[in-house]
Amino acid sequence: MEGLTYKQVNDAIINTLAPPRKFYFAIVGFFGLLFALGMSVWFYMIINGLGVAGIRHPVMWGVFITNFVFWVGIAHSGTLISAILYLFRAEWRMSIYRSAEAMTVFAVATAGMYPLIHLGRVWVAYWTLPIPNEMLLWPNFKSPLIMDVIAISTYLTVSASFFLIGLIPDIAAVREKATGIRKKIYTILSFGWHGTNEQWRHYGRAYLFFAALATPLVISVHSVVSWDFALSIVPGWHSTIFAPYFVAGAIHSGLALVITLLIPLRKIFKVENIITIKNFESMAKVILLTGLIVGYAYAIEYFLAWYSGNPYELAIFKWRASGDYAPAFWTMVICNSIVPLLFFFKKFRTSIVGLLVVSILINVGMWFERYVIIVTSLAHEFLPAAWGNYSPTWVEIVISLGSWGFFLMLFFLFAKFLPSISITEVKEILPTPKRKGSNNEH
Amino acid sequence: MDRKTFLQILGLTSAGIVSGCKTDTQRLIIPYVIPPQEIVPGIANWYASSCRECPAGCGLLVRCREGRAVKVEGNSEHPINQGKLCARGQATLQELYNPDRLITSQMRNAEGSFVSHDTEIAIKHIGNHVKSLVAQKSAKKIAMITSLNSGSLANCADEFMNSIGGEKPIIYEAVNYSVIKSACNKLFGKNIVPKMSLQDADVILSIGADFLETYISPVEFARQFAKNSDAKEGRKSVFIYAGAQLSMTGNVADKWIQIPAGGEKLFALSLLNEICKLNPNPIAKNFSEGFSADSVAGKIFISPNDIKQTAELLVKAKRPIVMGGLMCDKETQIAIMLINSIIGAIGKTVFLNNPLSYSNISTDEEIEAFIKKCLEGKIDTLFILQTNPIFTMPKSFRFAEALKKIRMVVAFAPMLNETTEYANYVIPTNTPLEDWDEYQPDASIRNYQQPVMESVFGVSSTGDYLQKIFKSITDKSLKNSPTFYDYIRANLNYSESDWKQILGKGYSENNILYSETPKTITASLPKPKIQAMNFDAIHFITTPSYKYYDGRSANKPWISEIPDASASIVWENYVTLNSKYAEMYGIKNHDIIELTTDAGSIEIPARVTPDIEYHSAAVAFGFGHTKFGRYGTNVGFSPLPLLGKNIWSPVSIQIKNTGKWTKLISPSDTDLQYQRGISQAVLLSEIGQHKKHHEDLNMYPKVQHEIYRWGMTVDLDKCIGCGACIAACYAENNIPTVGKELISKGREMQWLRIERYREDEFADYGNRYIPMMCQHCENAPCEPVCPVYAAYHSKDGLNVQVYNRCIGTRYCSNNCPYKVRRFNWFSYEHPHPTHLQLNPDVTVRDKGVMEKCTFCVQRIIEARDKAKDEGRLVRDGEIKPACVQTCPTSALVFGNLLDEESLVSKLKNNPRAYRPIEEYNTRSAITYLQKVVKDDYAPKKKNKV
Repeated sequence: MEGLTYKQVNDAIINTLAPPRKFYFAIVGFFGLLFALGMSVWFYMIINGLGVAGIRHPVMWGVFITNFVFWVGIAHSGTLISAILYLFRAEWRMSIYRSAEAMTVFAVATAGMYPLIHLGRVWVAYWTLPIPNEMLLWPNFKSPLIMDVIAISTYLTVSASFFLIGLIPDIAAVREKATGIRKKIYTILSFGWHGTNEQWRHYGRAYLFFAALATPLVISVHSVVSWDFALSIVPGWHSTIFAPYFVAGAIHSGLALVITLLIPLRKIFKVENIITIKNFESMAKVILLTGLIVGYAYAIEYFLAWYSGNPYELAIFKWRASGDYAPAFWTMVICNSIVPLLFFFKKFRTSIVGLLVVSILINVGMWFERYVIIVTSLAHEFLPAAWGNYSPTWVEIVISLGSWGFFLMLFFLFAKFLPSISITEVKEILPTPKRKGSNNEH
Repeated sequence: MDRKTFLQILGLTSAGIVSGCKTDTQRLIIPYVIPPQEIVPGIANWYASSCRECPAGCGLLVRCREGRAVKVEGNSEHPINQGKLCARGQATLQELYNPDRLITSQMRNAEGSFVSHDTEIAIKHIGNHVKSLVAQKSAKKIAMITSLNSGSLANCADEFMNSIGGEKPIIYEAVNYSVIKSACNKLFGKNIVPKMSLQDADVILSIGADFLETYISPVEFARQFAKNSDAKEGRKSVFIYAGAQLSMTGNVADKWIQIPAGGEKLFALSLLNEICKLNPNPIAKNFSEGFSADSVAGKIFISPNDIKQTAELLVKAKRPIVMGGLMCDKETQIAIMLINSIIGAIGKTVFLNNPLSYSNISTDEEIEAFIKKCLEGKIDTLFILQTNPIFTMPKSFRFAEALKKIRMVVAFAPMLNETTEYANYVIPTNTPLEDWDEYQPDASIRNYQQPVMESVFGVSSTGDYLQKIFKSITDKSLKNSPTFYDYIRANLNYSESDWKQILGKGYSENNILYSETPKTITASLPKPKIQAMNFDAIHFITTPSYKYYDGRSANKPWISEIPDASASIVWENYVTLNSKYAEMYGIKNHDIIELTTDAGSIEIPARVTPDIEYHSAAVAFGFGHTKFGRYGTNVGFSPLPLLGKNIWSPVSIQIKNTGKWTKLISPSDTDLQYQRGISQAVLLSEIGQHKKHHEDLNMYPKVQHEIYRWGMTVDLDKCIGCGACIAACYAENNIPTVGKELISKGREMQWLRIERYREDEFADYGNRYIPMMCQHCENAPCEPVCPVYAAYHSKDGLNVQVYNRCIGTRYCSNNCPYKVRRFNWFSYEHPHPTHLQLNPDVTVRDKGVMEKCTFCVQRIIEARDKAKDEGRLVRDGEIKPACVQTCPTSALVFGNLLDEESLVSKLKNNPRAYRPIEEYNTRSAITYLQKVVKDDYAPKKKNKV
């Protein structure tokens, strides 16, 4: 970013919002259609019953809950980057946090669909909400699923607010250049921002407070999600390490997806000078750390299964590594804890190709991690006669693709409608321009 | 506006809104204008009747609600079944409500296809035809073949044929005991199948007789057998099973003597020989000379000691019995009856003065003579009454050819089957639950059958049709009775009050002097003929399936969906091969095998197991219908093409692996327990010794129950794995059947399943069973995880599932260690008129909700309310969930665990009591009692010592 001026930054970022080429519409349209297809298949499933999916007795949760946990995990990097790293004053976050935050909001929205998709009777999903009613029916707060409802809705609210607050000065900057209907919309979204000293002061405090509020959520939300499993008695789920294990895993996958998405983005928007290889290297270092934590968790799970002396636990863990789902298990181990070790080498941390390949592999691995945890544990519980293996049907696959369509459609829309890099914060880290007489270049 | 006007307007507008609402599902509720006297809406009526699924003749009580039968149960007073019923008996409702039953008569047109016709017209055609025959003095050309009846319908048929001058009706049953009949005739001069009883029997030897499945009177035998094994811990009754295949019956035996199929004769003769050494008898000695254990045992691959020990046991026993299965030929049955007579079984366990109705069945010779006549063109008209010989008679009988030769074949049947394919007329009839009749299973009992509801399809009974035909021939009525009901009344000649009383009771008894003195046998017996067995070839037997009997129950989806006891396979049959043999020839489970005999060949999937003797192969009979309604057609394979004249006789067979493969569908994943102690067994001498003590740790206060804490005990020593409980559960709780494909995907809906595990502790063969249903845990793992309280704990200890509240997260099922919860993956259909069978006291569940065993909460509530009305507590034994009610061996006991005096509480404290996965502290309400293995009969254990 050396040598950039405020104006250059301003123009470069606002230029990303220039009217797109046809190719852009094709892509957004494609993802939109994919999403619509997923939704129609969901509708088909609602009409016919969940039996059209592959879930079965005893594996009552399958790809839907896998996707849920996966997307919630993705959602974690955004807040990590924008809130925690903000509090730590890590400069490398400045250029990437906006996209990461957008990713968070969209990922939570995607994740939030899955508990609904997986419900047997989605039309009464609101019964999980504590709505006072004449029948005095109330949700069961002991149930981890209710904790989930609360955690996810809180997270969505906070991360969306944080996202929108962070956007205010930038939207104001865009507003200045926009015309027509766009100007009106940006005017509303900028909440009357004029860049006055007073506004900056309030904005700074608000952002700090939100960062402080969002920080514990990064830890707690995924901990709560992990309790969906840890609070049960299912061998392979019932474990105290699940909360830290899941949080680390969430950050692992979230950062990987940020890398996967930002590499093409910076190329397309030609902002390589703003989102630099240094940013990626820093993320790679964090990934290296989370990869080690996740690998440690895998190992410790086996130790606990053995140390507990619980034959059911032990049987599950043996079967995971050697049974019908062994390919999924080894994919998970290799992608999540072996492949990231490449980041020990600077060559890989700073190579775009290396970063892209590793980050994609981590995402594949993290998806399989959730799949392995959910499916293998349910498939081989206590009574051998009641065991049974699960594999998804076309319904689950199409709905999963549909959710990717949803996520990517939103992300592409975001990239064209909102500044995907924070103008304000990038300017903050630019060296203060030298005065040239009385001619201030601000 | 004052308050009154406001309310008026409010009322008017809301009325307008209400009348403006219409749904497609709107139905009219019409009150009875003149209510029928007996029917009170919401209150069940019970009618006594007789089960006609097999000739055993169990008594029934049929529960009717609002004029439709919703459940059958055993008549608890009935001397044969005492309230118990097998799975086939439970499923008799699916015969009644079978959606493929005929509504109109079928007449074959010139092109040879069926056309629906008015039954009156069909009857007229038939009547005119018979009339012309009678007029031509060719009445002898009229014949009749019927299933086994032994009451008024049988009389009516006899009288019908007699009055028009036709032949005596042929009584055909595929499962018949004519061999026993002729053996008894030869030995005792009595041409009967004697009544047998296991009451207090102390030594039971079964030579291939599957008396818990299909043999003679399975429910009665199971009930009596379980009572004996009740005493296993004290008096040691012994059951030895000698046969090729370890059937469901053989599985409960103390000892299995593995003789190859076809070796039964040598075994019986050598046993007789050994018994004669201990208890001399000149005739028997003569008959069995040269068949000493030492000379014979090697030929049938057993140890001579097995025979000698069995002989010794039988001779020493007080009330022994030896039973010979269907595969035994006449000489084998003679040997068996001789043994029975020498060891003193006659008059104690075998009753020659009480002939079973089986005695009336025509012998193969009679049937062959009849078919010969048909082939010679001597028969012009044949009436077929409720029987399906084309499905059960082997080709060598040439019955199909015979039918083609007959000008007019009239079949009376509730639905089309293989035999009606050869008929010119098919007249739809009522099923036994819609019909008047009686049935005498043996000389001591007469069951009465009454219509428990109006004919579902508006058709009439066979008896009525016979009357009508007779009337159109002669213008007279049999016994001057216009209807069949009048005929019965005239036939039985009861006074009105006696009749009512007897109908209410469902049966009447004749006194039979049971204390007969054994006959001295004077018959001169020719030396038995022994064909040298060639054990290079595998010997093949077929036995009636305990699910489908001779095939007549194959159209009942409840039965098809019960995993079979030997292999847990549904909707399918298979050839059973010995695992060592299969290994040698590279045959694996699910491989399609070609079986060939002199008669023909079939292709059928294989199942490999140690539960069959090395030189034997077996297929269950009753599968492979080609025409039997939507549920019965193309289920499994019929072994018929392989078989000789007597379909139950062993035949030698060639086996070829076709290289093809199919998947036999089983709802259970594995039959290994992995030392998890799910279904436990214990040596008799070690009962109570290896008990693990699990501390009752809990962070939370204990759940308090007020007056009741419902619980159950399951005695695994009594459970035989017959699946009657599952069928009863289907019937009581409106559980849908889902079919083979969904079961292969793990979508079966059974609330109660019987898990089958291989016996690996005490023997290298055999199965252990454990009925698994909701355990109604006190610390139920399913309850806290439900986000909406759909799963909660009731104050009388039930783990309740509220369907209306359930949103379908399925977490409860994930967290259930017993995996007994079932999810409604779809909305399941109940095709017309099967929906009439649905129990109005139980919700029919729709897609998206979880369900599970409720301990038949509807019965609990009914009994509790009744007790409350009468100002008392519920009595012990007053509530019987459907499974408990029907269990033929009374393995299941239900009651109040808070009542120290209740049977269930006492059993719970039995030293054999345990709970699977107890260490998870679910504090389940179901306690299992370990199976008992006698020390002397634990081959594996003995080897270890």
